[in-house]
Amino acid sequence: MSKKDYSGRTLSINTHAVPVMGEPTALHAEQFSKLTGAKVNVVHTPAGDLYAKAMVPFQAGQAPYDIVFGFSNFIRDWMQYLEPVPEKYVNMRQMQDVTQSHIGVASWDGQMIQFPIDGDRHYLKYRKDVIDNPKFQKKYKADTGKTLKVPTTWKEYGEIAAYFNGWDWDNDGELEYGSAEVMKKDDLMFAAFFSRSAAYSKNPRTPGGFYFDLETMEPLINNPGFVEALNDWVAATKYVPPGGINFGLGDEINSFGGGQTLFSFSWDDAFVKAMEDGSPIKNKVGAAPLPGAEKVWNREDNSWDMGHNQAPYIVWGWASAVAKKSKNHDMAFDYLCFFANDANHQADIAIGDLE
Amino acid sequence: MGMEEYSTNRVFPLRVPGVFQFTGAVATGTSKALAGQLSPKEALDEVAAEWKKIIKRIGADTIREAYAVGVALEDNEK
Repeated sequence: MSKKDYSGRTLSINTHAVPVMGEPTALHAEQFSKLTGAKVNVVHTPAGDLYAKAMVPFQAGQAPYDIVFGFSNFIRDWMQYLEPVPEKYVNMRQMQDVTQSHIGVASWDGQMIQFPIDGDRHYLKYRKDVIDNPKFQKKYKADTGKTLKVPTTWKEYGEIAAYFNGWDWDNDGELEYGSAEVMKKDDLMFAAFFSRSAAYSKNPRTPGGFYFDLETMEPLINNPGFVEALNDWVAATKYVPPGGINFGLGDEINSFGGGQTLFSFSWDDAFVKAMEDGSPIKNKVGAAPLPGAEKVWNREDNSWDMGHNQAPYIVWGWASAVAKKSKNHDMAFDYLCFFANDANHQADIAIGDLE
Repeated sequence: MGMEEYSTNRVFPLRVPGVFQFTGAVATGTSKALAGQLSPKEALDEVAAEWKKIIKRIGADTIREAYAVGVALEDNEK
């Protein structure tokens, strides 16, 4: 990157507010500017306005920003206004580290439209000092007859969370609770519901649709698989901290990351926060795949298929892209490549709020 | 990670026209259940009814065309 000379040119970027994504965008803009001589203008926009900030000018035939940040599920709406990622970037070394499923999220019909900068998945986070603790394992077994372990179904998650809800199990003088989840009715909460419902509703024996039956376009969202997941979620309102039913993502991060709950799931942030230097629970947290389910709905047979089912939820996350009408494609893709490159990425993800 | 790459049973984010209307309806419906206003079945029936309206507004064929791209990823068709 230090060989590129963009002096005399200006790159404009619309990104999220500081700190989440906004901070690394600004940081890398400053570095990029020093390395290449380019002037980089960074505009910060609240999450809820990112879509409109990009789309309204696009729809009017304009591209005030060379680079737009948003969420990866904008793709179908904004892709016609975006410059596809050129071959040389698709084939570069650092792109080899991006998983196929995240290349899938960044692409449409095989063409990469968004520049992968954030590989998201939801996963389970738990307190190792409880789950792996022989003292608690013995007590749990004696009290319930069951084994204390990393839950592999949402039912197990609920049972264990309920057991460890509302008492001080880590002797810090404060009560702890079962789970911190995004339950607040906001833009992210639907992802928590799909994480909880995927294993009950995504049946390998009935491909051809999870949200809709692809053939008939009948919504599947009220089938017994989704209903069962929502039953679990209603039960969860009993094992979240006070106010937990109104937790947004920030609250979830602070709650689990601050040591208040046994479990959390959703994006990385809570785990990263827990592992920061100075965290009271540093090195006491573990990560595991999301729980599955002990049964999955079969919409063709109209009955449950019994047996363990798992369905990874490749959840959406931050996305960035270059405007088709930008006059600075070369500089824009170089910036994104720089933003996403290994060294910067390691530094970015070590700061728990950046996702 | 391996589970994800080779799985033929994955869920991808919904990426169809009107996506925010669909996910917004899920948020509204599930919130009602969490707040105890509706049973889970009632809440999701409401969401399904709303989804049908959205499909009608946007056009089933338009949504199907976009969703087919997602289903190919979910079922990991090569």
